[in-house]
Amino acid sequence: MDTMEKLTILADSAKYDVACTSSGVDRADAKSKGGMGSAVACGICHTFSADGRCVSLLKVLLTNICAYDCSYCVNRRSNDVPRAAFTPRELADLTIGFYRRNYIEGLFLSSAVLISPDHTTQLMIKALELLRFEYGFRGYIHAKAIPGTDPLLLQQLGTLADRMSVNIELPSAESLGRLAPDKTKDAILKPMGQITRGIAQNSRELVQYRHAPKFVPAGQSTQMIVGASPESDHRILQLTEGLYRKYELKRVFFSAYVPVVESTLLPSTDTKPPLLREHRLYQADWLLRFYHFSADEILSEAAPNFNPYLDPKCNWAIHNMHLFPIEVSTADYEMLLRVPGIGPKSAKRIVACRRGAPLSFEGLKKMGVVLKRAQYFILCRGQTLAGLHFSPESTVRALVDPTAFTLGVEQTSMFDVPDQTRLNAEEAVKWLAQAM
Amino acid sequence: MAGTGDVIYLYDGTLEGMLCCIWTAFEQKENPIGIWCFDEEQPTLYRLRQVDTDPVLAARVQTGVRRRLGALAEQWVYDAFYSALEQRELAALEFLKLGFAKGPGVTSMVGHPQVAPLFAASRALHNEVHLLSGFIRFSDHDGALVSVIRPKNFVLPFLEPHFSRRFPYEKYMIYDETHRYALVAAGGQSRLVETEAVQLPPPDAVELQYRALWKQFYNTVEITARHNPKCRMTHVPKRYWACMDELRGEKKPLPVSVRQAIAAGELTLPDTDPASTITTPTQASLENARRAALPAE
Repeated sequence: MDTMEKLTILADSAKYDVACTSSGVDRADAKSKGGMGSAVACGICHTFSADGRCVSLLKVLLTNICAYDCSYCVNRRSNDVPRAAFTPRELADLTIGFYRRNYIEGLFLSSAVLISPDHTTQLMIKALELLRFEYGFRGYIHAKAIPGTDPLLLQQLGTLADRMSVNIELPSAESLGRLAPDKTKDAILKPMGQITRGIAQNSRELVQYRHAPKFVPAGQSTQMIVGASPESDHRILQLTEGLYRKYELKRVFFSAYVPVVESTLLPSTDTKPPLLREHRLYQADWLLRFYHFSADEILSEAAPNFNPYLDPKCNWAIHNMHLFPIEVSTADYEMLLRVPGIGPKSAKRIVACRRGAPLSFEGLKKMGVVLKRAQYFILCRGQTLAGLHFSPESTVRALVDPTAFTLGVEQTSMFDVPDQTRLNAEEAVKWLAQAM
Repeated sequence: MAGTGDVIYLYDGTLEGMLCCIWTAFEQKENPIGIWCFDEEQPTLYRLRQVDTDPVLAARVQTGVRRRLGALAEQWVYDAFYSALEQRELAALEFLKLGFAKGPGVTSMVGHPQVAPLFAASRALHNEVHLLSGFIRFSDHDGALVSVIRPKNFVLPFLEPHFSRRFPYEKYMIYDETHRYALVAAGGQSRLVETEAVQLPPPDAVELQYRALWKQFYNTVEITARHNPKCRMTHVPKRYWACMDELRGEKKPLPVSVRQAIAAGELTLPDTDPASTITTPTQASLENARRAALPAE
């Protein structure tokens, strides 16, 4: 089998992994002779595939020959698909060839479980050692930790990689037991905990010894599949928040379930991936990480699923109209962040600029504030925007999320179909305005 | 600043020249209505003033801006010069006039009409630099990496630090076809060279193999159930496609009605030669250059 065939099979099997970020670590020349590569803190996207997803890393499996039989997965043992495996040398050559041509920022190495987790991890370590030591590669490497691997091997993998991730797969232990019988919650959380402790310990070592080897410097991430099991959005968001707090993860990724296998346990194969739901989860994830929101502010037991027509921040705003309008010249940073149409960048600019000169609506616009949405929630020097017509209907009209009508509302939650059948934009505005 | 406004400055098109124009405007108390490079000169009824470039004066303007307005203001003036902003010299002058009147706080007045153009130009420039640091594609020609780009802004000086960090021991060249400049780096040294055109030998077998592997990888990673060409276009604007191996020749998706007709067998499209999809003028001119470089058969 030639490289082309292997690459096709192993990239095809790896593509359902969501993370393709190359961010979190800044590294230049290591003063060694030879070699190549650097890493940039903000990460670099090298291209975007026709589904609009960023391609930053060469994302492949080392092998798709798997000992496990998880029902949602294309690579499960009982599925009849072509199988392939890279040798560590082939993989290292391919990575360097792509990296030199500036196709990629580094390597995302995952793998099916070949023979055992330990055996697979040893192969991954061999490939990364070739890259790091023989080729002097200093680019970005994301390695997947396989649950059940020996802690010592995991430690070794962590000193070669920049980021590691353990996939949490499904948002609850029950779903995991049902759909991935070879994996358990504890087996997944154990390596995650080990990596978290390793990172904390490493940061102490680095204070004492400047040359201490770095362990997973770009932190760890995880991903879960959304739409293959019946958890509510509220539950998923609470889990996400817990992971950020307890395991200090850099990112939690969500993957809209794409039916790849026929199974009585799973949604039928003609189900469309719940893209809108995934989109809302990422919006809420942003609110958790950059906007000082908590999971229980965004959703609650009473309203456990996202509003399909509004993004979570706008949804929060129209349910908390008693807090608005706020005066932009005096409001604190946290409150500015809660205004629809103001993000972290524009909020920081507002705080910096209002020290020097009085603010104006014209100036706010140039700072990047989206006045179309923000105008209903702010006062500037005691005034609303001239000519503003305030009514629940006009407010909602400005906030309604156009993606709701392109991605399809019925996809938000597959087990509990919303009461309202699909509305068009005008009906959605009326419905939301009434609820206000 | 009070002063006459019926004059147009002419300078040599260098950064130092632009700084000297700024010096002259302050010194002569003039409000030029245009600042032109020598080669932009055209018949006009306005008075023309030729500004000579003096590195000492340019350095004084630069340190003056840094000391009185801060490093960010200095950066913006520098960025403006390399940006694709229309009348960038005049915009820089307007910004500094306001700056010297208001002090270092001027960089936070991003909504002010004399500041906003520079702020926007600086953002656009750095945005393009960031995009290109990912979108540039190198070809290996006997161990040297070569790339051709067509940016709006003059990005080469800003790309240099990134690629020198990435490839400290490689020989590489990035040719900016818009501005006809090349960034050439080897052995940790780099320089900018004005170049009319580059002639490249045809890619060898290894190079073609890697391009094919990359194209195959690119096509494989798409999840077809999530096909979303509009989203891709937002992230990779079309003007970059011609210089990216995997997107060059990528066609606009056919309308649904046409696709259905093809599926039903009612319509067949004429087979096109894949090479003919490369129709951008640059690719054509490169091909011509290559053919000219080959010995006649």
